[in-house]
This record gives sequence, structure tokens and C-alpha cells, in this order.
Amino acid sequence: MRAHVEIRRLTKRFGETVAVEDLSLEVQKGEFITLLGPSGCGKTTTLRMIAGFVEPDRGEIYLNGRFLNNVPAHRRNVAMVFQSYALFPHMNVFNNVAYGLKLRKKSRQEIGKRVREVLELLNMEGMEKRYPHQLSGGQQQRVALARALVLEPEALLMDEPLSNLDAKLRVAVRNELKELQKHFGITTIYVTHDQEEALAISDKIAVMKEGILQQLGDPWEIYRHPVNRFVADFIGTANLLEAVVEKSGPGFVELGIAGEHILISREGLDLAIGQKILINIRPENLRLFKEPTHVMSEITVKGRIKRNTYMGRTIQYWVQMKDGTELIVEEHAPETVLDGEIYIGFDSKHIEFVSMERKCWV
Amino acid sequence: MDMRNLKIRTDFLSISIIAILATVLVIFVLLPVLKVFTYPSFEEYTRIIAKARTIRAVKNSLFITCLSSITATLIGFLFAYAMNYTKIPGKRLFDGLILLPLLSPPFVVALAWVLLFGGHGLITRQLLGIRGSIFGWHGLWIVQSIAFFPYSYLIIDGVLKGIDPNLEYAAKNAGANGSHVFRTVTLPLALPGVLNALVLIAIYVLADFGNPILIAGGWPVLPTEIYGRISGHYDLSGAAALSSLLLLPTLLLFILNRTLLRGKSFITVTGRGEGLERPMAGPFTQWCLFAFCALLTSVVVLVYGTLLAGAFVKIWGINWTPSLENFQVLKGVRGESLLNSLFFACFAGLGAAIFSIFASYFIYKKTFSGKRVLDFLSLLPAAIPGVFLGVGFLLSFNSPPLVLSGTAAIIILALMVWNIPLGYQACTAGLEQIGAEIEEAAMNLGANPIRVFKDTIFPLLRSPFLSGFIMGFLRAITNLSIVIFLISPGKSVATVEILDLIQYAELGPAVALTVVLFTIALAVVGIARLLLRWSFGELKGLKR
Repeated sequence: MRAHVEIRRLTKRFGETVAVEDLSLEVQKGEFITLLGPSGCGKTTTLRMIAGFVEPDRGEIYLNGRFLNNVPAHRRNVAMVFQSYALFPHMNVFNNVAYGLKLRKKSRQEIGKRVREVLELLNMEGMEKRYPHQLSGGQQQRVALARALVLEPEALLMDEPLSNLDAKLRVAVRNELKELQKHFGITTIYVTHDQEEALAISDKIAVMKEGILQQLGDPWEIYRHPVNRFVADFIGTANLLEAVVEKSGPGFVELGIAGEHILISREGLDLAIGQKILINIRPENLRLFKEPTHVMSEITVKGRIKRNTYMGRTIQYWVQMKDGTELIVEEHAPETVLDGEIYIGFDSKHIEFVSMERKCWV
Repeated sequence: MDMRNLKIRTDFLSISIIAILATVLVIFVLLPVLKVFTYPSFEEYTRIIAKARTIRAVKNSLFITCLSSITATLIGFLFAYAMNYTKIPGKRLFDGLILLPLLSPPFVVALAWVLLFGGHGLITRQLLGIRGSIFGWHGLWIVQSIAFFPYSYLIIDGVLKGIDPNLEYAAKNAGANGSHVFRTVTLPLALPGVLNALVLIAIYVLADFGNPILIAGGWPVLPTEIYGRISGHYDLSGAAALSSLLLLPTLLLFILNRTLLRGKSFITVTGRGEGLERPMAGPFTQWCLFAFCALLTSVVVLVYGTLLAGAFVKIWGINWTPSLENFQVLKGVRGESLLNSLFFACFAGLGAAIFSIFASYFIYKKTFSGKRVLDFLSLLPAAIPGVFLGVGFLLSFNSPPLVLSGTAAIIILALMVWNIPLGYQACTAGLEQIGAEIEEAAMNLGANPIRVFKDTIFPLLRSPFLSGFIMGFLRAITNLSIVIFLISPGKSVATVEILDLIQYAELGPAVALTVVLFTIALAVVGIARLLLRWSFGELKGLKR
């Protein structure tokens, strides 16, 4: 079966700047996919090409098997939720939501019924007569979503829809958004630069950088097996360390990392002695101990705490190792603040092998 | 982002609309300009330019332009500063009265000047007992400074309001005293706007016809010379050559304004701190500014008071008995000219506003080859002196293929074209405010380009549309410099009749007609503004 939304080798340049380069992507029916990356990575341009606001230089877009490139924006039947919401300021909530239905020449009764239904679903009943400027940011967001959903579009496009909400509301709305998407079973392409949001909401994440797709995978893969330094660093907090292969044998490898020699037992590694590689250990997988003698961790190295940031639920330490390398260590539910000489413990299974430049180590 | 790469599906209907707009601009903007330039032969150019009188007129024009625009800008700046940086009493009153000259015909100040300082002048004859009158450049300088400073006030007021008070507080916080803040923060930030006002007023003064024709007498400036060429000698080539000469400096100023001064504004950099009270000027400065504002407002009140008095006395300077005799002028041909004025101005204002809203969306917003040319042509009339445009229409449309002379259409079209830039700028500014996402949202929901225009652009541009109409109407009903070349029997307008009466020394009826014209203009503006408020009652929060 063909994918519901299919993008093939999509390329777009603005003058000299590459916005999107050779992007191919498949989205299955009902899937929630997020285009994630820093600003200027081409995620919004990709979305706008799907919506028909920007014409690609090269490449094809298919929706449900239909070739979309030649279809004008107003006939694509993909609904978009804009970053600024783009509610019509001169229409009340009802008319905003009804606008697309009116253009589709639906009967008055049907329009009334469908608008009421969608507003009810979004807990916005009774707000029909209000104008956008009389609504809070969260309510405006709901209207924008209602306006898109009421059309029962073939795909839903969302351009950083939560970025104008305050932090607490953002989390609440994002959960709601996910539920609605599941409820409608609507294929969704979502754009954000917030990696936490992407992890929380997506079925799949496409990480982009400078117009190029870096990695496509579900949140687990993206977080636990980043394919390169950029993805590892962009998603969550990373301790990226360069390592040299010192010994290698069946089922084990010994690495020289930050002046320490670390033995890792793992099957399926094919590393040559002397090879330089990049590894990552997430801060939450490191633990700190006052004494070197303990049984909880496989590996222990010595370090010195330089500074900390206390965030209530967690505390982050910057720990300097023998050769000067700094590691970030995150502890949950801290009860005391540690300082001075310290021992870092971790398990070898938490060491991720990240690619060095071109080569991939997964 | 490079606009050329943004996808705009230019459909057949959009292309048709652009073609219509382009046709209007080419026929009624470009053609008259080219016609004036090419009408005189090379010999005729050299003949007219070599004339001693021409050289005098050019010198006079440049001289008075420098003088009047600098004083008008300075007065406007001081007034704007007083309105924004003081807590002097009567601010609202000053602010309201000072804008009266914007609503009245451009020669109103000159007319008051004639009543006060002319042959039968109240001050010269009655109070000082001087025979003869004080005409010439001194009078013109004062009159133009008073007539044009409100424009500079409006511009500079906007500039000062745009300065973030936090910047001034930051300077104070860093240890600057009041005058220091003014010299090192306020003034440098306002300077681009002030220069902008200066250049715009220079364009107005250079093109000013009404004031010099009334009071400059034998002191020729270019606009009056051009008129003289036609009314005195019916020398069309001479008038065209002089018009070309007049357009050069105006065009230069216009281009200077759009290239050099554009984008020099610091206002957009911050623009925060709204609602924050500015640091006020020192008490001594405040009282000086109060005296200045009071004096200036008194002068404006004197101008309009004189006019009112002039309308209601029997014979100015001779018989001071109150009477309505002067309003007898409303009966007959001269009274009919008022209806013409109203009629022409309504159509011209409406035409300009409609053209602007379409031009802003289909020229400014869309992408197509030749877009820049059409954009330029839409703004060009702002640089064309009224006299030039009048001569241009006269020359362009009195012979086939398009004969319009003698019709109402030629007057309406000329006035409409002259007012396009104002509406166009208002609408494009409005479009910028709306932002692209609203349009895209409509498109995304299934609206074709025409529906996008009808459902989003048009309703959201109602406010610039109406203000474009108001400005266009006002400028059209008070215009003298264009219509004087285009009227024909039965199609005369009030401003021309007023000038005619003054030239026959019928000051009383002239003033009466002016007062009625002014009242009509005020009434229409009042109604339009009520309409504006009424139609936006529900949309108070529309502006972001």
C-alpha cells in the first residue's frame, strides 16, 4: 500500500540559500509525524510546500496517491494550523470555523451542525459569537484547530501551533492535541523546534538540519540511537565524547575516553584498534558517588564537581574529568548538593555509539 | 526571503485586474508626464529657459521653497515636541485647532493674509493706517509656513511617538540631563523623520500655487508663471517647458525621499514601551513651548476668525456692518460650482480609494514582471505638482485618440490620479499589518484568489480605504492648481470661482464661498468619520 502522504526528493532554494534539499518522506494514514529542527532547517518550508504556498524547485508531493504539485493551494484539502493562528479578525468564532464549509457550499443546517460539533469537541461551545481578539491565546488556538478539523481534511498540517502559549498550557494542549488526532485518525504533519514537544507528541520524528533530513524514526530511536552528533546533541542533553578503540575482540571493546580506559561488553561491534569514534552518554544515566567502592555501577571514573544547577525535580552537575573534559550529570529528586571530588558511575549498556562524520555506528 | 520564489498562482482574473490597473496608470499617469516633457520643441525649451523672467521664477521658487519648508518643519517640530514632551495646559485644544489648515483649501491662509494686510487690510489700513499692501516674498514666506507646518507636525508627531521612552530613560539612567537626552537621544532618533517631513514639505511648497497667486503679486514663482503662460498668452509649449522645469526638482526630492531617507528610520527598531510616560521637558522649556503653542494657535484662530468675519460683514475694510449679503454669491453660477466641487471630489476620492485597494493587493502583493514599474507609477503622482498634472491632462486629452477636455471626467480623473499615492500607501501599510498568514489561511480553507480578496483583504482594509477616501476627497475639493487648467463652462469648481472673485476684488463673496466650501468639506469628513467609527464598533481590537 502506498503511503498517505509521500514526498519524493523535494528541493527548494531561495536564491543562494538551500531551504530543503532532496527530502524524501512517507507518512502513513493516521500517522503523526513531526518535522523537528532548529530555525532555518527547512521544516516550515516543507510544510508550506505541502500546503501549496511555496512551489518546490524539484521533487514530487503525493497525497493519497494524487499528484499534488499542480494543484493550487485552495484545492488541496490539507488543513493548516498556523503559528500565528491566522484567525480572521473580522469574523466571529462561528464564522471563522464555518468559513471553509461555506466555500464548499454546504447547507446552512450542515454547517451549523458541524461547527457546533467541532466546537463542542474542543470545549468551545458558547463562544460562537466572540471575536478572536476577545479570546485568550489558548482559546484562539482551539478555534484555529476547529477551523482546520471541521473540514475533515485528508491531512492536517501544523506549524509550531503551541509556540505562542505559555509553558504550562503548552503541555496541556499538546496532550489534548494528540488525543484529538487519535480521535479523528487524521494524518498529521507537525512542525516544531522543541525537541521535548516532538518526543511527547509524535509517532515519528524527522530531524532536519540545513534543509537535509538527518534521521527519521520513532521517539525511542531518535533519543536512544541518534545517527550523528547533530541529532544526539539536538535531542535532549548529550555528553558527546571522542573515544579511541584500544582493544577489540569478540563481544567486547576497550575504549580510551577522556583519559580513562573503559571496557564494554557488547555483541556485534566491528571496530578496528586505533579507530576514533564518537560516543554519547545521557546525563540521566550517570550517577555520582562519594566513595569509589560500590556495586551499583559497572564502570566508575573519578571527577570533580565544577558547578551545579538546581531545578527542583532534578539537579544538574558539571563534572570535570582527569583530562579536563566536562560531563553533565543529572540526578533526580536530589536530597543534598554534592561538591568536590566525586566518582561517576554508569553502565556500559548506556554508552551509545554515534557516527563519526560519514560513518554510522548504530 | 526572496519574494520571487514565493508561489503565487497568478490566475486569469488577477492578470486581467493587473492589466486594467496598468492601463489606468499608463494612460493617466505616464502619458501626461511624457506629454508635458515632449510637447515643447528643443527651441521652445531654450527660448523659455533663456527668459529673464523664467530665471527669476526658478530662483524665487527655490528660494521660497528652502525658506518656507525649513520654517514650516521647524514650527512643526517644536509643536510636536510640545505635544509629546510637556504637560502644558490646553494641549488638546492646540492639537485640534492646529489641524484646521489641513481641512481647508490651500489658499485660505493667503486669503486671510489679504484681509489682514492687503489693500483694505484690517491691520495695514485700519490699525496702522498704511496705504498699499505688504505683498511679495515676506508675506508668502509667513503664509506658507503657517499653511504647511501642520503637515510637518503630523509626520514628526508620529516619529516622536515612535521613540521608545525607555531609550530616554536609559540615557537618564546613564547620567544624561534633560538637554543632554534631547541632543544625544531624542533628536538623533527623530532626525530621519524630521528630514522626511522637510523633503515632503519642500515638495508641497515647490508645487504651491494657491498662496503665491493670491499674495505674491509681481513676485513670480514657477507654478504661477505656468498659469500665466496659459491664461495670459495661451502659450501651451511655454507652460509645458516651465512645467518640466518644475517637475525636475520635485522629482529629485521625491526620489531622495524614497531612496536615501527610506529605511533610515530608527522607529521600527524598538517600538516597545507603549503606554509608558515619556520623561518631560524641564519647566522653563515647557513654559517657553506653551507660549509658542499659544501664539501659533492664536495665529490659526486669527486666520479662520478673519475669514468668518470677512464673510459676515458688508464690505471688508469699508463697511463693517454685519450682513449676509456676501452669501448672495451662492445663487447662480458660482453657487453651482459648489455642487460641482462636491460631486467631483466625491468621485475622485472614491475612485482613488477603490483604485488603491486593488492596486495594493494586485500590484504590491502579487509577483509579476513589471511590478516595480506599476508600483512606481502608483506613487509617482505624489511627486507631480498639481500645476504640472493640470497642464499634462490639458495637453494629453484635448485631441484624439482620447478627447476628454470640456468634460467632468477629465477633472475627476486628474483629481483621482493625484490622490492615488496616499490611498495606495495607506492600503499597502494596512496589508503589511495583516500579514501573509491570514491570506494563506483563507487559501488553505479553499478560497480562490478572488475570494481571498473579497473575504479577507477587502474587509480588513476598510479602514485605510475610508481614510484614503477622506484624504482624497479633502484634497480634491480644496484643489485649485489642477482644476484651474481643466474647468470649462458649466463645469467650474468653487476654488476656481473663489480665485476669480478675489481677482475681481470681490473679497466678501470670495470669503463667503470659502466658508461654505470649508463647511461642506468638514461635514463630509465628519460623516465619513462617523461611518468609520460605526462600521468598526465591533472591531475595536482589530489592530494588533
